[in-house]
Amino acid sequence: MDSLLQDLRYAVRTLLKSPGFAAAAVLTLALGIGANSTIFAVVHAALLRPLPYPDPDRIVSISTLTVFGDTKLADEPSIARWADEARSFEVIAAYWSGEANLTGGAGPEHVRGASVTEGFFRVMGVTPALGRAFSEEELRYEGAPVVILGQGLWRRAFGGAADVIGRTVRLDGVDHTVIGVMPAGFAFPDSAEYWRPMRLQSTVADGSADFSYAIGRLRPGVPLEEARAELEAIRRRAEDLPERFRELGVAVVTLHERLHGDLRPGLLVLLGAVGCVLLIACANVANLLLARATTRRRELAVRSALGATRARLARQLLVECTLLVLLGGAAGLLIPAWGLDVLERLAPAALARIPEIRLDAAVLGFTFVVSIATGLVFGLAPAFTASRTPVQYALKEATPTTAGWRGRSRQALVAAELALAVLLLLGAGLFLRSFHAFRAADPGFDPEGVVTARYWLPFATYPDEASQRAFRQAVLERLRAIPGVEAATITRAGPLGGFHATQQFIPPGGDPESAPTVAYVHVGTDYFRTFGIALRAGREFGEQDRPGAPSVAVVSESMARLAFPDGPAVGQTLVFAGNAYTVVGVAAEVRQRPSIVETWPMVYFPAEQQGGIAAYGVIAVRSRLDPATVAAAIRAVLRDIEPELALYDVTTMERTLEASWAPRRFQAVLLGSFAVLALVLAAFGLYALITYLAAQRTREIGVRIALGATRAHVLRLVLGDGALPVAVGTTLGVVGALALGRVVESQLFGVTPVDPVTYLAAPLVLAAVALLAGWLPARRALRTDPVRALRVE
Amino acid sequence: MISLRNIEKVVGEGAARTFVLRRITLDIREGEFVTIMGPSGAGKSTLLGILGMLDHDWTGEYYLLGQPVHALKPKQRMELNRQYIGFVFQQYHLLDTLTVAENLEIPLSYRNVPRKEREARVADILDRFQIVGKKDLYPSQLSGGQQQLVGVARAVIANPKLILADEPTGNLHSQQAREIMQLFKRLNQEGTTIVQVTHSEENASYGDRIIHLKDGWIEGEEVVEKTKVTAGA
Repeated sequence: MDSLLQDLRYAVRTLLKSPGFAAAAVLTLALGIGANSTIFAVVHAALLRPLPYPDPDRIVSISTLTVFGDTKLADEPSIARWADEARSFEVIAAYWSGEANLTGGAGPEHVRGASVTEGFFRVMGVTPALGRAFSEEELRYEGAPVVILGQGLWRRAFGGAADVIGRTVRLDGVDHTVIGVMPAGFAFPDSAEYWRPMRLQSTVADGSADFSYAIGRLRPGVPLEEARAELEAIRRRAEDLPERFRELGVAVVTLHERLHGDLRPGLLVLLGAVGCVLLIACANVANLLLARATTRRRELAVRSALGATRARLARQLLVECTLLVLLGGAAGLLIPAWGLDVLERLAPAALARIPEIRLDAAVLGFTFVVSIATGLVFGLAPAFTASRTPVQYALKEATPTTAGWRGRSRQALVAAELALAVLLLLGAGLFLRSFHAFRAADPGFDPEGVVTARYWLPFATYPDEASQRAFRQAVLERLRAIPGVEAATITRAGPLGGFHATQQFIPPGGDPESAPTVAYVHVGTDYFRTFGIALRAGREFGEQDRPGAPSVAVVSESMARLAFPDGPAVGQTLVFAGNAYTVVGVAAEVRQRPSIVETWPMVYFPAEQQGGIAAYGVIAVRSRLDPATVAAAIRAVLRDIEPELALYDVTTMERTLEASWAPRRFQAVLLGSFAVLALVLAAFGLYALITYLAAQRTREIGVRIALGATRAHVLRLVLGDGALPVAVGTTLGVVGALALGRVVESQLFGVTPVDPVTYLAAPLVLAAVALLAGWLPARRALRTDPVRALRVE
Repeated sequence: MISLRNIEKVVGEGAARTFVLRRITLDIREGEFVTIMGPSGAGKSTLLGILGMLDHDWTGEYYLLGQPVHALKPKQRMELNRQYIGFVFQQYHLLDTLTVAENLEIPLSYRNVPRKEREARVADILDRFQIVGKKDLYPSQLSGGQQQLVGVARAVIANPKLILADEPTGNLHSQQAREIMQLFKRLNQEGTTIVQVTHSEENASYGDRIIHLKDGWIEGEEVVEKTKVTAGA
């Protein structure tokens, strides 16, 4: 122990004596370890950290598996049966995310919440911090409406008053009695701030059913597959369910998987990339240690001659190395401390959903373990090498030395660094080009000058389609009258709104087994003009498409080709979900989902004729006015017509379009940053290598100058030392990227994994950086004073 | 051939300023064999470096074959070096990673001699120095005397008018030293001007003239009596 402390003391003194070496090593390690800690913090929060509920592994999400292999919400009659009969579960519940207008304060406020069935809180393993959960009567909607509040809403609406139980809060124009307040941090689902009771539809009425999100808490020790099989069996034997429901499969995944599973592929790519950065940093430090081992040969030989064993020498070097990596790790923590803020600003919505990406004990532990592992792995080889140098050689000036071996191992290390840097450069190049292609892709609408806003009509005031339609007409009439407004519409969902229903469409004479998925949405009058969607033929919906008039539809071009392969679609009859519609227009393809460019064939129905917007709507206004002015005008119009209505998500289509790029931009920017970091570190490694080799060749350079070597000869000589690792590294990097291309293929858009531009540019960038890295030592070599060089022996 | 006027070299600055060479004025005729002697630190090797144009940091006038070296830029001086000068070093300074033949080829490649001619001249010099059998060996496989033989061969391969030798036999035992000195004598008789730095009286006796340096100054000159050559040989 005492000797270990002595080693530690000596290590501190040694590092203080070579501040340049120590600073280079600590900085390199800080960059490598810090970048890893940052991404680990995100991966930990998204993929590794359990959900903040008791026994979170037992909370599962239950959905229906269609014959096409995708998952859909479960039908409520099935959920009701599962809740009654399934023995694999302690409890099964359903919920539906909702929104409401909160009034009674300074102005109407839009709040998110949920309607939940009995057992919801038991599934989550959470009980109200104040008050109680819903009673049987409340769940049957008997008596006055009740609500349980989240901490945030409780503090905003009641100032956190302890006597809130029994008081009322006005949601959607209806007074709700507060019966409970949930504990801080509970906001499931979707940042909910209130929970209202919901009753499951237990039987199928008129052949159709409501659908809900289903969750359950497994009994301890029950595997997912067993639970899934049981639920499927229960539904099969439910004879009162229609055949088409009973034959459907069931999917059971952990709630964690459903909430964050979609982040996994992207985050794993980032983790792989940042791992490469750490490897490069480690190789750099190993290189620095090897160089240092050369200069310390004599010191170690003296120690050896004085009786130090090889193990003792190796330990001393390891202690120094471990000290370095711990310092590097500690300095590296500055990167997540600062970088997590930047990440949060860059993060797409999916990542922003993850609660509390933070520098916690897990991240600190990860950093510590990575640091120690780095120290051991990359300190061991140089320590071993240095400790085995024969004393008699080291003490004398004479050769042979292990310098040749060291030179080669350093070249191999730098080649490996460069290979990883090329790999990252190629990866980043592919993702950057993919992002640009995605951004450049035509969204199918003209976002300029379009302001959108959402609302949720209070059901109490607008209980039926007629009242809701009257509201829409009143709003549109006022908005269209504003000078400068070119068009306005109210719709169920705009482009990129993501809220599109889908179903399988069997074209005439088509195979039902391979029916393609098509999407449909109910849109208002002037929808296409407002969003700037080109009509290829026919017309859009107008005032004439009202109830009682012939049922009409507009189809996208791909839908027109699918349904009417033989001729023009306009005027034809489209049979969709058992109903007949006359096609009045054909519209250009429009991106429906934020993160995906590929579009489904699309059918548009006129909401004013066929309903479908109900209480939830998106107002869109196209104008030449300033967006803020338009937003204020929409607010003023709504305040006049319905004072209890809160507008939310007020934005422009330009911003919506930009937000749809965020996930790809996030990945491209991060990968790009890692690639630049990798390139800088690898360039530093190359610089150090060429400097080292040039220093080893000082005498040779002196001789050559004395023999008549020109500047060009010396330059070629010095830069030539870097050429081999650059060539080997580039080749290995390209081969590695070609092999890994398939892994990321599904995440690319508009570029192939063997994109020639990227594969040409990355090696060129590396070559330019390598040349720069070699330039400084080469210039120094050019200044070699032959007289002095020849005297040094 | 060589004319030095008031050559001075200073190292350090301010209080640490030290003169390495002071007011060196010296003429060396073409075909002469001149020896520079003096105690350690006298400035012998520095003077040789200046003569060889490896050192550019000095003042005074230096004419080589009528060309004012002091007025030339370093690049032009190196051009003169390539054209007229060959070096022989005490530590031989053969390049470890090159074979004997490759070591010999280096000065030619730096003078842009075409490959065919390089090969011919290397073959010729190997023959002349009787080291054909060693052409594929690496320096580490040769004795000290053999290495210096290659060093001298390398110095003469580009047909220099002037050979500068810094303690050429310093690392050799006496028999090897004698062979190398006789080689120098022969080269000198064939017309090559030689300037050597040595501590050895015996080596000095092979030359025509000895310049004595001390503390950077020329302390004196003496002409070598030819009888000594016979006595030493």
